Amino acid sequence: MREQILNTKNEALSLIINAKDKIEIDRLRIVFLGRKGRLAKLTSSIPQLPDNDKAQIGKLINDAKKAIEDTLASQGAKIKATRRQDEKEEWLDVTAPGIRPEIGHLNPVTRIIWELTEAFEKLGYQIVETPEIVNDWYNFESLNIPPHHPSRDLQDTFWITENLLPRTHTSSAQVMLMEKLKPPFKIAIPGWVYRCERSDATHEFYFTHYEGFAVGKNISFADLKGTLYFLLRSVLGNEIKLKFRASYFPYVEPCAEISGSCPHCQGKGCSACGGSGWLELLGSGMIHPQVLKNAKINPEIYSGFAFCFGPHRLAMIKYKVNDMRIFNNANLRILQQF
Amino acid sequence: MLISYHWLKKFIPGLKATPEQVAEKITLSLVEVESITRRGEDAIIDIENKGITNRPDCFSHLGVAREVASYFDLKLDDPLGRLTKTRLKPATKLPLAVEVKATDLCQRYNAVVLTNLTVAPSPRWLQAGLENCGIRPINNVVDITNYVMLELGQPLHAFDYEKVEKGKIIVRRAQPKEQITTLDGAGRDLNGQVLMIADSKKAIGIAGIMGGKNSEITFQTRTIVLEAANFNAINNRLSAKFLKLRTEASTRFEKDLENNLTYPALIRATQLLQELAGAKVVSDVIDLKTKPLSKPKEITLSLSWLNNFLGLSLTSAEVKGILQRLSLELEINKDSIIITVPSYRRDLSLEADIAEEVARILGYDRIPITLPQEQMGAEGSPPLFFWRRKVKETLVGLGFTEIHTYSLIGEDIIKKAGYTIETHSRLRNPLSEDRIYLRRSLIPGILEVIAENGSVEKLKIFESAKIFLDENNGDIFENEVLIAANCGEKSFLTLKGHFEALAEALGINDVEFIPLEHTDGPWLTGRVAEIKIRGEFVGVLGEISPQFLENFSIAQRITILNIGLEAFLNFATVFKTYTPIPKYPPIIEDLAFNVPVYTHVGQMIQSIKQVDGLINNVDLLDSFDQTRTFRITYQHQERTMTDREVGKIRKEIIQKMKIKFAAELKQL
Repeated sequence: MREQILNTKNEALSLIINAKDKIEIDRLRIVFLGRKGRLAKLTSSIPQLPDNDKAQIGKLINDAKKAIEDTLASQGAKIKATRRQDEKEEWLDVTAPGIRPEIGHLNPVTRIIWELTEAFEKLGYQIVETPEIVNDWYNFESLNIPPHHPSRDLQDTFWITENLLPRTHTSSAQVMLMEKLKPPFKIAIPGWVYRCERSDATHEFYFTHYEGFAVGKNISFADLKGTLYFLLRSVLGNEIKLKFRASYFPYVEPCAEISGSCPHCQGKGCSACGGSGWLELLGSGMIHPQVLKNAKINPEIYSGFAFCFGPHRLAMIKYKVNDMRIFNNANLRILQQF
Repeated sequence: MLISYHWLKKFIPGLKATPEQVAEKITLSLVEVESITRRGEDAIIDIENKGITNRPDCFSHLGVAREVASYFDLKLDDPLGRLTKTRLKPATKLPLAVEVKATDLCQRYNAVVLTNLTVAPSPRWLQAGLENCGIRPINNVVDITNYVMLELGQPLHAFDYEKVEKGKIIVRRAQPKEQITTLDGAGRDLNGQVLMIADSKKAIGIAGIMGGKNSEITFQTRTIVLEAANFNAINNRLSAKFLKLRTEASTRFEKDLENNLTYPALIRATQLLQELAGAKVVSDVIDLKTKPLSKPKEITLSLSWLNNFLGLSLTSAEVKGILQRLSLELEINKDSIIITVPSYRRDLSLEADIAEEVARILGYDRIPITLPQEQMGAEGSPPLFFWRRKVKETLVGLGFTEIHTYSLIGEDIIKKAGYTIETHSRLRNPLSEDRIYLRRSLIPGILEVIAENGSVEKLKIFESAKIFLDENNGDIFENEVLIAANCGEKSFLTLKGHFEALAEALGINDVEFIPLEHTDGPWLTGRVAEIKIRGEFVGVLGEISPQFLENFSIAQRITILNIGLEAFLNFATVFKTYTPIPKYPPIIEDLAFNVPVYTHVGQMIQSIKQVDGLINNVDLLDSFDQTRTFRITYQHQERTMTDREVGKIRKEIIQKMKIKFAAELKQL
């Protein structure tokens, strides 16, 4: 027993003297002096000892305790002092590379979608998602694109059945959502779309759209223009100049296609805009009266506009990407640049 | 669609603008100009076809000239009126008859017989005119039909009269199993819907698409039947698709041409044939109609509506000025304007259509910039958007890179990942074998990405995207899945830890991992767990079996987290219940147990926690051989716990471990 006490004390002292920081000191205090510590355990065995040994052993334990406490205190003070001294003298190469935590990377298309979402929400749009697999009615017919009409050539389509297709545009959400709502409303729909065309540097068969539309009384073509100015400036910067020009989509009337001055060269011409200074940005227009009727909204009372961004296209513009396929191809060396 | 600048000038003698200026106006007010090419004196303006799908009138120089004249407010020399009034007088008469059997598919059929022709190469100017617009010259007769098509937009066709049985033309649907050899020398099998031009014995052409070889104009031809007809657009388009034969003619017919155009086009071609090939008219002009000729339409426009709709404040005089440039006739009564639309503007029928005309002639740059003024009942966006973003931000913060993969996948990777293809929905018209099925899982795609990134040492990737489950009732159920993957010896526990961190960031605390004994995925038995939150299944975390990794030639160990996004996010919450820091010190003790092999430590921790409410926390302190050391924190909120209280709980823990796990307390 005596030997055991001595060993414990010695072990404690040697460990304490080698302790390098306060945490270690605290830990050792618990191990040896804690309520369930090594000394406490020894103390608890005193009642089993022969009576004549009890007092002596008790004293030995107390001595050990005292010694350990003293050493803990002195070593603690020593550690404190050393640190203060080190702070004055210690040299570190502060130009050495930092030890970096791992950081991940967001797909650039996601970043564009979030930027658009924030801009839409500032304008009071509700963001909604709708299915990717839709029927012919919502993707085409309800948007004034009858079967066998040449306007179907505007969008090369994959078919699953005669009536079911992966949507060619998020405009498939227009009548689907509008028929359930009462004007006025402002809605935006991000999502994946499909085109049956071979992918190359500027085409993908699977990419994103971000549709927006608003319906109410007295909504005008000028309101469409203002809305697009706000949204495009939010994503591409306040300096952007926009050009509105006539175009044709069967579900809007009037129709407007928008080009913007290149955000990299402010219209002077650079590699991002192919030297022209201008970039095609999106299609838009006033919702065709027949489309409103298809959604059971009276075009005599209400008007509205609709437009559709291409987040993939915006990501190409914003990050000077000359090959659209990099976003879906998951090459980590590319994605980790963003 | 190639447009010759010189040709436009023939219709607009006053045109002073350069080809570039004309192209700029066309781009702003009609459709994008893709290029301008110099061809000698001329400049060829290439306008994009798709943007004028609704404007069959613009598939001609006359139509584009009408547009250009209106942009520059110039006078158009429109020949249609003159041609429509022209009557031809046959010198002698050869028999000609037309019978339209398919009255639903042919609104009007004009034909005339011309003789005394000298078939020869066209004069140089005519050949150049065609070549500049992308059409190969053949001989004067064929070239003139093409020239008039480019000029007026109406396709025409010439048949060798001698090859037409008894000078009688029949317009009918193809007969069962009928075949024809077309001018391009191809033998074509027809279906019962293809509209044919025939005589009493045989077909001599496919209506509105291509003529037959058997009635082709040759250098021996002396007499022809000249056809200018109006064929049904949808039928024409379906036939062209069925035959995989798109021609200059079908490109126009499918846009739904107006039926007034056939006669003036026939006259124009006849005049040119008289002039350039010595033709003599030897029949009356047949003009067979199955429908009345299109008449001008009236549209009533409200000026105040127009101004509201466009956001402008135009006067009626200004509107009048704009619309008259488009050759629209108007009658103004106070606020309402009655507009008469010529029959060639098939695209104009509503007030909104007129609004577009006003806007594009005025110039879209004149439209002001405003925002909707009406108060909208803005409902918040569904919480999914907030949480999905939080998930992505957290994972990126934890070092993961977001990937996007194609939702269309091929049999190859489906099988490599151990799934069967039968349950997948399939495209009818895929682009390629590897993009043919709608994915039912993100796992094949992510394994492919890992394989392609092969030599990456550290790999932490994720994707959140839809899978598509065929419901067998014709519906396809879409479900968003979150998948994440990492690699290496400790990949399972690392990914598990990341997932636990993610769950914590979303306010989800009760995640349970339950060992999965049998799975049908590519999982490695013994290293896969199902993830449950408050008893509900949300997904699987597991290592991929070497067998499947081998299929993808992946060398590292791979662990994948695959969970239903919405099932998971259902438990996400922004709410938390604050617990004050206890005033009384906790009691902390370490207990070590000897456990049998294959004991799940997660279940032990769970069991210990359940012993008593005063157990505040259980950590696995150490795991070595068959020993598991737990650090147990006892905490009472209102007082310091006594040795007796702790001793009682400890006893219960020890007993429970013994009964449930056959774990023996190791004496310290």
